[in-house]
Amino acid sequence: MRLLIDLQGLQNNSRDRGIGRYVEALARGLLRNADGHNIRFLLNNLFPDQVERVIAAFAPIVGRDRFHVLHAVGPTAALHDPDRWRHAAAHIAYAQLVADLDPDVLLIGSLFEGGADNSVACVAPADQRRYRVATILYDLIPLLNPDQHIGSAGARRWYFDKIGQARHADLLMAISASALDECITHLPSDADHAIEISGAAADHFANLDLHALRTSPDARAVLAYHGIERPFLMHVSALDPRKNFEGLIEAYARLPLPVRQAHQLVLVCRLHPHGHARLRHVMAQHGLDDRDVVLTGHVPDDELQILYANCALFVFPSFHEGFGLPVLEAMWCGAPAVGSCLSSVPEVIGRADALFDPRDMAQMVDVIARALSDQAFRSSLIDHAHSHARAFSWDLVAQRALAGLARLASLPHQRPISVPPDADAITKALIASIAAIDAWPGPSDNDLTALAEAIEQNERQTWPRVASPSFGMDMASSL
Amino acid sequence: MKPADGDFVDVAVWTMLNRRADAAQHAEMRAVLAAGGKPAVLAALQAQRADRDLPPIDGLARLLLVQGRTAVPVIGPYLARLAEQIEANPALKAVLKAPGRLIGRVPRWLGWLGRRARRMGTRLGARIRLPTPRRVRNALGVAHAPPDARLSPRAAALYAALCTAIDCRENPA
Repeated sequence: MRLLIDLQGLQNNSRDRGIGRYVEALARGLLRNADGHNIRFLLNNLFPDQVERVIAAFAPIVGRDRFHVLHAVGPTAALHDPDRWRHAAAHIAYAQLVADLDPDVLLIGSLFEGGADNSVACVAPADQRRYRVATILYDLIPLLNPDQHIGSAGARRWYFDKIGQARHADLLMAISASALDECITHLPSDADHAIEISGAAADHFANLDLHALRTSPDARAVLAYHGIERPFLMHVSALDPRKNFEGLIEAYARLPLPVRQAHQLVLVCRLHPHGHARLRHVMAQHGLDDRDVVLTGHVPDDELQILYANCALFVFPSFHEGFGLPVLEAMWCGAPAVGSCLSSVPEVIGRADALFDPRDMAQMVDVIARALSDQAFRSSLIDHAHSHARAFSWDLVAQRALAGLARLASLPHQRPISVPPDADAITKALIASIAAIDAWPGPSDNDLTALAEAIEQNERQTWPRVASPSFGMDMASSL
Repeated sequence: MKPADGDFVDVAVWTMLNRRADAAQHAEMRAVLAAGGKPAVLAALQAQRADRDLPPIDGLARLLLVQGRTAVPVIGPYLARLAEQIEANPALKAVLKAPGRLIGRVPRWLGWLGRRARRMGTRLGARIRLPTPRRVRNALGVAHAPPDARLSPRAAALYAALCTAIDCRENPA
């Protein structure tokens, strides 16, 4: 199977979030488990500083010749009307480049991007392409709660256009059973078009020295740096209403006084002034100050591991998740974890008595208080964390994904696609598609110059298809 | 000591004392940071301020605000200075409540307004089917720019083909 993986999720604004981590770890897992499949990667030159970074990150395991780079004209943000022509032209160039590379399957790491940045990914209807398309489905949260998560009419149009593209995909790979249920219910899909591949924590979590993370001078320095003076419960997430930071602060304030006074609450999230002010307001409402609740802002991975390993309890009170990676990372670091009983969090926590309904404040307070004060319960949570976290591995995720992709590649096309007879005809068709873009005010001459250069760069990229009955020989030819 | 610590000291001294940290003060504050964390640095700098008897400021939020203001080209330093002056004047501060925050938003408002105006102009042009700039130029007899000299022959040919195709679309007759 010739598998082309779109790695733009590692280049755009998602690169530091769960999506970026997921795409990178899955790509590495697929390479480890390739088993004769020929895998190449697609990057986007509209993130020029990220192209080399991604290639360098994969350099130890895969050569530069396995990376293809889309050249297009930016900016291409879909939600910015003056960029509409460039947005459409970039998507035509993307589809043409993928068609030229002629993979059996295109795996899009993150389809729902490009509203506000230069990401370019699209799924054409099945009767307009020769290759199969699979995409990873993280969640359908904006679809289920559009009023909360989609701000403008333009954003709504863009999101529902992406939903339409997801429906065109031949295979949706959901990252949890909960996400798969949402996919089957709301897209809708069936078992032939949607599978669960699950998720896992980054590989380095398996090799952590927990003793050093808890006792080293660095660990003490990190705790002091953030003003952590007492045992603490912590929560890690993006600052989003569905993550329920406010509910957790209120639950902390309602803990029995001795329990609360013995613990601090550490909230790890990237802070912006508005969100910071909002959290401070909630703290003030409940009579809490900086010594009770620590707002760390964004912390690098090494510090995050120290916080995970030293926390008395990890709490994940989210209303809706696609997977819930922070819980799994905390469990790898030996932290007892409790969390929401909604969406995918129960799959990751894997224990009914560690769950609470985040809409039921009394239940939330009870579970947190028990986990902090009942030593037997706490010990059993720690033991469970050690064993349960190991049930999630990227190799398993990659093997599930490869099985689904290989099955997809083996399916016959429903009807043959007409292909232009030669390179000239292909170029003419491409230019005709670009000229047909209906977007005011249209392209400037600078846009056309840059696009001509981009098309030329894209034309130079090839992935020769070797006539071979076996995947193994195809792989060997590319190496 | 992490690299970010030094940045924090720089920003904190600049914000709290309105001047750059010299080497000695930088080293001193880094030691305070290592020993007591960010709150200790802010407290130490607060004690060095001339207005140290004023109620303590909200360190992190203020740092973020002033950092944001100084990042604004040209008018950033003036906005920062204006905010400082109003913060230091109890009468003005009583009226404006949070002048630093208010002034900090001005450049963002202006930028937002500019982007919004451009976007609305684009939408309006599309909605009322204004002729595109290319169509207007064609009507006035203004041709496309000649291919850039740095373009390869292939890219120049593609450019010419694109120009022709766009003209055909804009002026089908």
